[in-house]
Amino acid sequence: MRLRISRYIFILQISILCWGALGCLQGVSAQNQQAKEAVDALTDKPAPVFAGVAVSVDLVGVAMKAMGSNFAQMEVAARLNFKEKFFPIFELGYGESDFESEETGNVYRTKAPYFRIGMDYNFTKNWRSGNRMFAGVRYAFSSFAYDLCVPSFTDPVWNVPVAFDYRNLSGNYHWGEVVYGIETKIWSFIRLGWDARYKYRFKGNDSRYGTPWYVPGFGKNDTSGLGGTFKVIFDI
Amino acid sequence: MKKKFVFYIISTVACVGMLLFAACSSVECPLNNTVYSTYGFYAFTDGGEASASILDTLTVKAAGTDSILLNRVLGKSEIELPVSYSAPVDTLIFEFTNVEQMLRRDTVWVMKENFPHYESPECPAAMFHVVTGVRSTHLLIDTVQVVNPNINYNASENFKIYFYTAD
Repeated sequence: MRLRISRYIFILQISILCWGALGCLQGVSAQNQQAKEAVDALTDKPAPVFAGVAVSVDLVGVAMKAMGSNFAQMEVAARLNFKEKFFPIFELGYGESDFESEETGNVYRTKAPYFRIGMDYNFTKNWRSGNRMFAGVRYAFSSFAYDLCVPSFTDPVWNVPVAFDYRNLSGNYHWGEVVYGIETKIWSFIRLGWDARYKYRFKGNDSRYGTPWYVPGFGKNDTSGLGGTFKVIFDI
Repeated sequence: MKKKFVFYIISTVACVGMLLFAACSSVECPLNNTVYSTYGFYAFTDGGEASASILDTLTVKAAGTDSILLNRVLGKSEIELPVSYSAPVDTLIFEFTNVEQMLRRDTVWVMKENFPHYESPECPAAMFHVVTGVRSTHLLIDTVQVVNPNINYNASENFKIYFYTAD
């Protein structure tokens, strides 16, 4: 009899414990649900239509100039932010080259500004994360003067030396760029980002005496090319 | 925070990789920076024209120099000759020697404009030319026509030389 009473008490205790635990679990679950709803409410909040302005500086050109590259281009950009999705952008740069080949002695010089205008689209869904992955397009233009200098070379048949030194030849190039890049927030209003670019020349006008070797903003002259930037971006 | 760090690391590595890729560029200069003018040999026929091979031994010299541009070729229907870098007119002496060792000469004057061609600082410069006119003596040569006035790296027939036929 005593054993039976003990068993009833034990079963009752277990039932109370289980009921209590269930109630507790339900309470925790409710709290989690509330927190989740609060986070969702926060993250699902749409980005403002106009979410700000940012300016940026490209570090690749600065590094190329510091390392004594054959050409370098310093570049700044300003962009608008609409709904954290659309980023109209204006890029302004200054490209320069003063290169003398050790093998041939040929010299190429130019320095001129260039600009690009276009738009980026941010693919990331959670705009509050601070990370952005974007693709975009640009139209770019540069008008520049360039020098071509060649040391004397001799006609092998007629034995007449020829040299040329053309200064201030004029050229202008139009090209388009397809851009892919990512960026992230580092601290407060500072971001870091890089992009890779495929460049395609639409039209190029140059002198009959020689094509420009380097086009400011485009890079080495060709019908197409690759490029990129590594930017420090300041949200203002 | 960890995700952001990973994102930043990946972006930096990708950027460095891209820079290294961009830094590895090769220079492709033309193997030969001398351009040649191409002369095709023809004869007028009843139906128009036909390609002709020269039966005499042909030597071509540049007047005013001791250079032989082409030495004793036979049976060719097309030849390539160098062009002076800076002279406004090239005077070419075509010497035909037949089997009896009889020498006959025609002179061809090629009027042209010369343009330096600058490919790249790393490539040797070349001279390109635009032919503005051509004339000749008429011992064996009937007519010389300019087919393509541009003498550059794109080798194509620049002149047609029509010879008198044997009949």
